[in-house]
Amino acid sequence: MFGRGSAAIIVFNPLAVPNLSVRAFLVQLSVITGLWIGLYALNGWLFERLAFSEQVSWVFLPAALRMIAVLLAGWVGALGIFLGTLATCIYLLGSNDPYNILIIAGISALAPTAALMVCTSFWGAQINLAGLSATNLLVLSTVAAGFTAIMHNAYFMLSGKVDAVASSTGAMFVGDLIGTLIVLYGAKWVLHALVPKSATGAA
Amino acid sequence: MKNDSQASATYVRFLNLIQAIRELPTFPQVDPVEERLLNALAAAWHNNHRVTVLEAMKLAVDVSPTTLHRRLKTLRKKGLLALKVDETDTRVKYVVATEKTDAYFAAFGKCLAEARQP
Repeated sequence: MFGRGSAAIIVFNPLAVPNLSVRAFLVQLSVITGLWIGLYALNGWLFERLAFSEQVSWVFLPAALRMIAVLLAGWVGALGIFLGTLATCIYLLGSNDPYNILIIAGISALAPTAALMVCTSFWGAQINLAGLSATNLLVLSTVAAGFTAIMHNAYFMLSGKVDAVASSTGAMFVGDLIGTLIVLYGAKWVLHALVPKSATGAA
Repeated sequence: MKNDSQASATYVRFLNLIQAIRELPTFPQVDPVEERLLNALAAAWHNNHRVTVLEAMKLAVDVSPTTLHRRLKTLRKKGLLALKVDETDTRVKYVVATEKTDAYFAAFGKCLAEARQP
């Protein structure tokens, strides 16, 4: 019934407001928020030594969730990322400067959404996720990493929170891209390991 | 009803995302013996010769058949080779190319073509 080439075409539009039940909405929101916090904690534990600055790391695993959440859940995904970033920012920076935290969380949620909208404008007005290719995924990962790095560091620069903007942008871009690729290829490896081997014709 | 269709839409997205992740490109890492074996097989296939597993195990004179058999297995695991059972004698298996093998040699062909350009 469902899958590639299926008659039931599901057209994906990142701007569409999902018509979910309250329960489904809360489940999706809490799963994404929880995953963000979990990945953030895991990233801190695994790659603490690879931190470029307080808010930038050379490897940032939650970046993958930004893209996946928006791809799968649209605006609900973006909202989940916003809440997750809000929680981790409060943990990291405290709650003394609420506007700063809100802006950082807002950028964290809007950057992958903007990246997806730009990519869909090249792939077509709307992306049918049934036709999503590995190349699309890699391009989206790169564009989302670029958007996140540029938008965050533009804000850091304008608010005087960073001195070396270029290196900070570069580090965030590399960190987001590496983090995304680690998660995607980790998922590929897990999927590959779960697929039963062909039982025919052993050499 | 609409909520159900929205939930199934999310599930379809999930399935298609999984499919895209499965198709993520990986560079096939081939060791020198595997590379020699693949080249020898490619030459045989080019001459329309069907290579059996036993023949493949003797393709490189300075490498033991046991080593080549092991490499046949690793190349199969990497998706660069497949085996096809003979139509008349099921004991005979032929080593055949896969789509990945074609892509592997096509990539080399492309590199050569680019290198030739002044």
